[in-house]
Parts: sequence; C-alpha cells; structure tokens
Amino acid sequence: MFEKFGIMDVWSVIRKNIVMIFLVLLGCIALFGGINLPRITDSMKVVYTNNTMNMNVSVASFYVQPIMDESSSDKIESGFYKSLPDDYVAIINTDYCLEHLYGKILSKYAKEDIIKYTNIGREEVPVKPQNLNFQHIKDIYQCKRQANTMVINVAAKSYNEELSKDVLEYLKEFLIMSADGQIKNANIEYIGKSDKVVDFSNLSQQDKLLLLDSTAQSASPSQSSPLKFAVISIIKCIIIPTMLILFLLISYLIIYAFLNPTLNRKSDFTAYKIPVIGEINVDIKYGEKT
Amino acid sequence: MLSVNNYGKLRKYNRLCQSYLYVSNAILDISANREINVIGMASSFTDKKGKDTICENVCENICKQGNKICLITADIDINDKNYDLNETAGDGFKKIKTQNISVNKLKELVEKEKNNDLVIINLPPVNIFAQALEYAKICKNILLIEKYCHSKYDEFENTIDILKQNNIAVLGIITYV
Repeated sequence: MFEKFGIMDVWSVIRKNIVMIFLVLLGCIALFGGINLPRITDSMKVVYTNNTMNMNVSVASFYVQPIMDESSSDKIESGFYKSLPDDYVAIINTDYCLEHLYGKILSKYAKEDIIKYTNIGREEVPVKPQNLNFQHIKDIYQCKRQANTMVINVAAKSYNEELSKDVLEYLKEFLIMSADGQIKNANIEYIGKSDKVVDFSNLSQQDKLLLLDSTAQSASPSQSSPLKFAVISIIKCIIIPTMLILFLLISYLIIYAFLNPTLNRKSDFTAYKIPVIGEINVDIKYGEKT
Repeated sequence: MLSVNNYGKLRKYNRLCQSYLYVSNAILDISANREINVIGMASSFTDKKGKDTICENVCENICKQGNKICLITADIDINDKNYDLNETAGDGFKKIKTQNISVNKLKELVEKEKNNDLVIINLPPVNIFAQALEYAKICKNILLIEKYCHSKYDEFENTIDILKQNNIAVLGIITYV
C-alpha cells in the first residue's frame, strides 16, 4: 500500500473534489459568519462606544480623622493611625457595601437603565437585565487612598451624570452612616466633591491613578481599536473554524487517497507486463462545433 | 467531422488526433500480426468516465484508414432487464448498441459481423459483471481502457486475474487522462 501511494493520488483526489472543497469553504464562511457576525457586530459597537463615549465621573474626598485621647498615645507613636484610611477603603470594597449600593440604585433605576448607563452593557457578552446582580456593579465605583495621606477618594463613574452623582451620594451616606460607626478610632469627614466628564483616551495622570482599573484599561482606545477588534474577532470566530473544517476535510481526502491508491502513470501499468499501446489526453473532445 | 471550438485549442487537438491515430494503428497492427478480427474493450471501473467515447473515436479512426469496422456496445442494465438492440450503419462503420443481450445472441451477432475487417466489442467491467466475462470469452482478446488517477490498483489487479483465469488474452492497455 505504501509503495503504491504517491503525491499524484493526493493531487488527483483534491482535484476531483475541488468543487466540494470550495462549497464547504463557502458553507463554513456562511455558517460561522451567520452565527458569529451579529455577535461581532454587537461587540464592535461596544468597542466603538467605549472608544467614543465620555464617562461622567463624580469624585468625593474624605479626610480620616484619628480619635486622640490619652490612652491611645502609645498607638499613635507606633503609627497605628496610618492604617485607618485603609480600613475605610476595605469596608467600602466589601460585598456588603456592594449589595447595599445595588439595593439603593435599584430603588431608583431600572435594571435596563443600569446596564445601559454602565460598562456592564458594553462588555463583549452583554449582561441581560434578568441576570443582573450586585457583583456586576463593582466597576461602577472606585475607592482609593491618597498615598501617604489620611485622605481617601471615592469615584463613581457611569455614562449618565445623574447616576454617577447618585452612586457617589449613596457611597458618601454609607461611609458616614455605616462605615464610620464600625471604626471606633477615627471619624471620617467629608471634604468635597467634583463632577467631571472624562475622556478615557486623554486621561490625566491623577485620573489614571484613580479611575483606570483593569476593566477601564481593557476598554481604553489604546488597547483595542474597533478595526483591530473586528479583525481579531473575524479571525477567531470565522477564519480559524473554517480552516479547521477544511483541514479535517482535506485530511479525510488524503487518508482516502492513501487507502485507495490509483494507477497514475504509464510505469504503473507496464509493471504488470502488459504493453501500453497508447495514451490519450482527452483535454479536447471530438465533435465540438466551431 | 472533427472540429475545435477555437484556434487556441488547435495544438492540443492535433496532439489528440495523433494519439487516436497512434492507438488505431497499434490496434490494426495487433489485429494483423495475431490474425484476430474480434477484440473486446473493457475497463476495470464502472463509472461512466469516457470509455465509450474513446471506443467510438478509435473505431472512427480505424474506419478512416479504409477499414470496415463494426462496434458492438454490450451494455448491461441491472435495473432494466429488457433486451434491446439498436443498429446504425455508416460508411464502413457499423454501430450496434445492445442492452442485456444473451451470450448466444452476442455470439451469433459477432459471427454475422465477422465479414468486417475488425469487430470491436465495448464490454462492461469484467470484474463486476459475470455476464461481461461471458461476453469477453467470445472475444478471447481484450484491450483494457484505463483512466489515469481513476483506476484503482485492487480493481485493476482483479480484472487482470479474472481474465488470466479464463484464458482471455490482454493485448494491451489504452490509457487516458
């Protein structure tokens, strides 16, 4: 079997099935394109929107005031108070706070609006309203401590000015009413807030420190342009599966040719000690009209 | 009348004519040297891949060289068991197309046509149809028509074995692309 198998067999079997290969190629492109194109288009819209829409960011600053008395003088000397702002940051990043915030937002906004106004609706696989839960809104705010100070900044970001302001208000209320009661050694004082529209393609160094988490970075234009995203999506969702199917088809044809070798040259016939009395190349047929 | 549909194909066409002429001359030589005037033409595959056309064109070329020739096409149709015989006679080239003809009737037909210079019987594949082998026994001499990249080793070897077992001589092979 192995000595009879040749490249000519492979070539002939591919040539015989070239129409089928071509049809399979077109079919795969149509099938995978049909399945994935709406998803790619939606994702492209998301990337395009993320690249073009400016976010409304409301930032509030708080000062953490340690409570000083005679009994705490030792603690002050040991630098105990330096970690107090981190405690507030930790409390505001708990699931409890997230759930509290989610409840507050839901009392004013519909789930569809929350998805529409935040990055949740702009993810590659958008979240459906019925599947929305408090974990989805964790990127709606950021809380960070200003380095080497007792100041913490809380930022709420969304594509709706009112939502940003409301989220910030809920967080402020949570910090002052709930978190402050938990920490006995310090009081938190509200310094002030600012509302701004942020273009993510042109962030200042300060805003980058506060606002750019992993989610925001992935949505920033420098990381993925719509064209690059479209090309990668088409390669991933259409070209690679099509090539895989073609590879499998051609592999099948090669194995078929390998198992069914054909006589494809004059020497194959003369090996049986029977003379080849003539070779006819039927490229052109008799009887064709001029 | 041989013709081509455009001038660009003329070279290929000339080469094709030459190859048919070469095959025709070879068949005439074999016929003269071995003193046989009944030759069967068979292939090892069942598909319709141009064997009938080649048979007809070879016969036409032999006829053009001034020989009287009779081409009997012995078809076997397993779906239609009805016997059928269709005869057309040209200038020195007689075509008889039969379907499901019995061996005796074919033998009679061949005997009747032996007054021609050459009787060629276009046979179905002998490795597939038992009836075709019986037809081949009438000819006693067979020319195989095989298509490059289509004839499979096992089918071809099977055909040769069957012909050898039944003492039918394989005169040669005509190959085509």
